[in-house]
Amino acid sequence: MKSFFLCSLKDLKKQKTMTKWAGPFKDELTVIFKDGAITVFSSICPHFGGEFNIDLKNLKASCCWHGYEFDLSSGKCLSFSNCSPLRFYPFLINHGDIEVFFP
Amino acid sequence: MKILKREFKRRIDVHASVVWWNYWDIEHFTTVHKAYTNVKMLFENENMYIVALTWRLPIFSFFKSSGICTTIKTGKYKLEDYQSTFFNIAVKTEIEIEEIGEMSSLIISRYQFFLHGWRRILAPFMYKMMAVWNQKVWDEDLPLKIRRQRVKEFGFKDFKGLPDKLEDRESIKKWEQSLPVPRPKNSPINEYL
Ligand code: FES
Ligand SMILES: [Fe+2]
Repeated sequence: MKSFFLCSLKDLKKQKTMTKWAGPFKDELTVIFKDGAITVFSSICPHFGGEFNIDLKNLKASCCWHGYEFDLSSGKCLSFSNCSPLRFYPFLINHGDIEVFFP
Repeated sequence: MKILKREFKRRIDVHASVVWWNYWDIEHFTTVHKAYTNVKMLFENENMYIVALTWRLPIFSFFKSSGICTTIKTGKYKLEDYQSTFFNIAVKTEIEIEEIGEMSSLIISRYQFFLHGWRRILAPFMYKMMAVWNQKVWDEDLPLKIRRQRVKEFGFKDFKGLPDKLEDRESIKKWEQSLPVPRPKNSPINEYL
């Protein structure tokens, strides 16, 4: 199983959200930290490939390209039903580092 | 009548179909371009579209204008668009995308402003505004084209996203963009259809 170092837990706690291209996964990953919970997901918008603005308070991602919104708990597209949901990635915290796995 | 003409050429390292997509993707007009405040589709098929548009001038954003814009495909990667802008000035825009090698394109934009009567005094202003407009739109669209190229190289499919398996995340085979660019049926842009 391929793994990828995304960021340190310390940095994530400080910044709350981080985005990084994951070369070995051929994907862009975003990690969010809210109320002690961590979520890692692909932040390439399933519509046309856009990038997201993250609304941590309401746990929503809204795309900068066409404004579609996604629910960050379920991954579901809230704007249109024919758009695929966001993909979540499994991860481990390894010696204070967030290590993401390609399932 | 005075016909004011201006041409711009720009090069970008993305496939011509990605540049083409950007011109025909109506949904990004109001979210990516600050100048457009409203867009509604009136008619579209695989060769053309007609939209009702509202936009503002860059810098002089108090100049707001509404009108109809008709865009017609005139070649594989060629289009012409016709609209009337503020003071009822008719504008024709031609866009031509030349494929340079595998993944590089040259974009030629030609603008023509038809200045009737007193409107000819606006020529020097219009001449400058064309450059400002072209630069602004270019800057706003650039990150979209670069990112879209990148995700297509990972096998991205519209409305689906990246392939599930890592070994399938390979560049798409067909660098094409069919028209019209698909849009959800209940998109607010379809309100007048
Ligand atoms: S690419 Fe995200 S909403 Fe269109
Ligand atoms: Fe654009």
